[in-house]
Parts: sequence; C-alpha cells; structure tokens
Amino acid sequence: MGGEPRSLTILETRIESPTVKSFYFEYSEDVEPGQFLMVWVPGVGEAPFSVSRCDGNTVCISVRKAGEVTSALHRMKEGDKIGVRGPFGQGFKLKGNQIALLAGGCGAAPLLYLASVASRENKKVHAFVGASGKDEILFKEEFEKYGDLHVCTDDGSYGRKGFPTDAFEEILGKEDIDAVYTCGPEKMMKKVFDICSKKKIPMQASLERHMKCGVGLCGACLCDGLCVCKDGPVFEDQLLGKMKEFGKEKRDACGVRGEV
Amino acid sequence: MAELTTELAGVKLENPTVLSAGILGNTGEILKRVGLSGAGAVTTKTIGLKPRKGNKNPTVVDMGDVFLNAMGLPNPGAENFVEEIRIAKEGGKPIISSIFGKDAGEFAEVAKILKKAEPDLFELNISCPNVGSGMSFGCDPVAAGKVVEKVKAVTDISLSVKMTPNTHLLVEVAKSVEKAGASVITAINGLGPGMVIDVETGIPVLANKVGGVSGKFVRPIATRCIYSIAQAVKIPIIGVGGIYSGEDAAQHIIAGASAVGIGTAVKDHYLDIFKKVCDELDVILERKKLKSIGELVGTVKEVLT
Repeated sequence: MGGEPRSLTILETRIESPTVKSFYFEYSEDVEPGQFLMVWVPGVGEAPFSVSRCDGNTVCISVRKAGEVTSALHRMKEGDKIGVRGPFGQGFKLKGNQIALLAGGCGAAPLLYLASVASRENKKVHAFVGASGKDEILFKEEFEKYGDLHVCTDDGSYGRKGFPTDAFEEILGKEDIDAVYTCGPEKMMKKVFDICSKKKIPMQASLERHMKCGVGLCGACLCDGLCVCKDGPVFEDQLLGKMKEFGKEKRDACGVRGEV
Repeated sequence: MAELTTELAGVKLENPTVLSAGILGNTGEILKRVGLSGAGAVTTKTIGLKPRKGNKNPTVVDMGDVFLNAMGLPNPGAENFVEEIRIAKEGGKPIISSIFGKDAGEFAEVAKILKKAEPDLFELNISCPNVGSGMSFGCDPVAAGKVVEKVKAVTDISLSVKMTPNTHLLVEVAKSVEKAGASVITAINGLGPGMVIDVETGIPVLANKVGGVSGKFVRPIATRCIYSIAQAVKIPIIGVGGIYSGEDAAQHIIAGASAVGIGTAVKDHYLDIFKKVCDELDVILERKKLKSIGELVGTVKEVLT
C-alpha cells in the first residue's frame, strides 16, 4: 500500500473518445474496483485516477483531458515513464445479483472495472452510461459484453436523449435491481441516491474532491468530516445520507466552500 | 486506569494526545470526529489571512517511516475558518487554532479574526519548512518574541509557539517566546527540508522540490529538543515528532512534555492512533506504578558518569 511513486513504463495507450485516452502499465499491487492510484507525470504534477481495466498485473487508467496533469498525460506515449503510488481508499463492495451501474462522463471508468468483476461473478449487469454526445460514449462494446447497456446522450445524438437517471427509473419498474453503483457528476449521483432511498435499494457512490496527499493526512479532500481519500472515495448510502455537503458543496484547493 | 488528564495554560485535556497542526484539520466536522475518536485536543490546519492554494502536487512523498510533505500552508483564510472552529467546538474537546502570517502584524490580524470563534489556544506557526520565509521567525529569537508580543496585544487567549528544530538557537527562541508571554511551546515542526529525487527521470518528486520531513525516525530528535527546551523554560510543552506508540509518547513526556502531538502516524493508524497511544501510556504508568501523567512529566534522570 502507498509508498513512493514507482517509476513505471507506459505499455500501451488507447484512444477512447476525442477527450479520453487510456494508459496501460504493469502494477504489482492488487487494485479493487473503485480504489484509486496517484499518478505522477514527472515535472508536471500528480493527480488521482481510478482504474478502468485490470487484467492480472496489467492495470489501465482512462483519463479525460481537463487540466495540466491530464493534458501532459495525453501527450505521453508507449515507453514513456510515469510515477504511480497506491492503491488508495475504499472501493465498491459488490453486493446483490442484479446490479445497476450509472455512469456520467469519465465516471464510467471505475464502473467498467466493476462491471467486468460483476460479470465474472455471474451478476446481471445493467449499465446506464451518460455522455455529452455520440463521440464521447465510453467503453460501449465492453459494457455490452458485460451486460445490458443503456446509452443516454445530452444532445440525443445516440441512444436516449437525457440523463442516465431517466433510463434507470424506467428499468426500475421492470427489473428486480438489488444494488446500485454510481460515479459521475455529483448532482447526478445525488439524484441516484434520492431514487434509491425512495425505492429502498442499497447504493454506493464514488465521490471526487480536491486530492493532495491521498493517504488521509492533509485533509484537502474532506467532505464534512469524511476523508474522501481514506474513508472513500466510494461511500455507501448510510454515510452519504449523513453528509451535509454531498450533492451540494465542495471545497477548492484553498479549502473554501463552493457549489459542487 | 491511571489518570491521563493533563493541562496546558489552564486548558484541561482529558488525555495528553493532541491532533497536530496540518493533519486533517480543514473542517469543523473532522476536528469534531478526531476529538470523538479519542484525541485530548485538536489543532486546526494553519490558517492565514487570505485563502491560499498551497503548493502543487506532488505535495507528499511517503517512504513508510520517513515522510516528506510540502503542502505549502493551503487554507481557506481566517474569515472563512471562523465557522469551522465554531463547528469543531461542538465536539467539546479543546481547540488549538494554528495560525501564520507574513510578519508579526499579520499574525495579529489573523488572531483578531479567529478569536471570534473562541479557540482554547492559539498556536503560532513560526516554523513551516515548506514556504519561503516560513522558518525565518522560528530561527530568530528576537523576531519570534516580536510575533508573540504582537498577537498577545490583540487577544487574551493563551498562546503556544510551534518551534522549528532546524536552528542552533532552539533554546534561545524558546526562552525568548516565554519571556514575550507565550504560555505553551509546541516542539517540534518538520525537519529539513529534505529532497527526494526520482532516479529514473532525475526529477525531484515534490513539485516544491523540497519538503518538511516527519515520521518515526524523527522521535529521538524531537525528544532531544523537548528535553533541551524543558531545561530552559517553565511553560508547558506539547511534544511532537515521531509518536506512533505509548512508548514514544512516554519518552517525550519524560523529557518534559505535558501533552503530545500526533501527526504522521495518522497515516498508519488513522483515527485509532489516539486511543492506541492512550491505552499504551496507561499500561506504562501502571507498570511504573504511577497514578497520573503528571507524575511522569519531566522526570528524566541525570546520571553522572
């Protein structure tokens, strides 16, 4: 667990969408779905990423180009060196027999890994994947391989127009879903939480906060009194229900409260 | 069960373990939770006048027993933090408000704002190894005394001063802040700073290149600093540095500490560390047939050779 960043060689890269690129490397530690790694681009910076695929010792992270670190990563290719430490935090706890996964944007990454594990354990998987448009739909073939896929796009260019939560609510009446997992924009996850509390279905959500140390020391990623890097990033519904800031507030790099 | 209560400048602690500055203390809710998990008192993140981002990632290098950090004093600014201290106080444990400023006057301005939340103590961080001029007050007895005087002029809340070990004037600084009116000394802050280089790329891992060093191996250095300070001043000491067990805490206490700050060990034991150290201290007190922590403070023996 943890430790200094280990210098690793990127074995392979893969373009997932115009804004998302995946990186494969060999990692000796076991990583559970939902746990995260701190990835260092030497000389640029370090940021947390959850694992999207894991096959033996080969681990994959899928990265949306957004800031300095992710842009630098997108410029990297096979053979380049990155530093990796982790895995950190609490991952998803796989429960139930018929599960629903609700992904928004790059939140599909940890849910893809969870889908692969769930499918291997013969769970029935319903994946609801939201994207801005057709080009940004992530991991379509793989989710289809692991279960039923329902694609929702903001602009209606593919699948259903709207949010994954709309498609999910429809299925709820027809299928006997007994566990729900979500990762994506926090307002969407809050909606998933509200739907599941009403229907009394256990759910788990993976939260994102400003992350610095990754090891439960610096307090940058606190959500109320919970440390997202240590107590999370995946939280079960009982704890989510107690968080005043969930779905509402998050703190910036200084620790100043703002809207999620 | 031995008596674990202790006192710092009139502030009563139900046990001697204190959450150190910079560890977790960003929100009122976490300070409450750390108190509930067993800490005798909790110290907030070091707060300055204005919101501050701190350094870029990587901000830490974790080598197990040796830990480097260069957070760079990220904080939401004093005005925003008043509410967090108020929330923290609902937990019922004493709150130590850690503050910094670019000069003595700014320290006082920060204290003036945060005193509205009525923390039990202020801790003046004159020893941060991770910001440009952070350690300069801590290495200069006159400048350190001036910071204490300026803050004392704006508040009646008792002051502690966080000492840097990175000076040959450790004892002089301690004497100076005591003379200027400090009621407590917190010793020590991080060592160094140190540097870790990634051999593969030749690049320093910390974005800030260098960072304060903490962890298990710091304990003997901290114990020596506490011992030296305790010989020179009368005010109580919060001993900080390398505490992972009751045995570690006992060494700081025997050297002269009335309470012990716990920081990096939170990485290994998370919030259970406070109860663990207290339970182990209790066993030590029983073994030594002592009834209270007070009977152990500063009992280091001088043996003539």
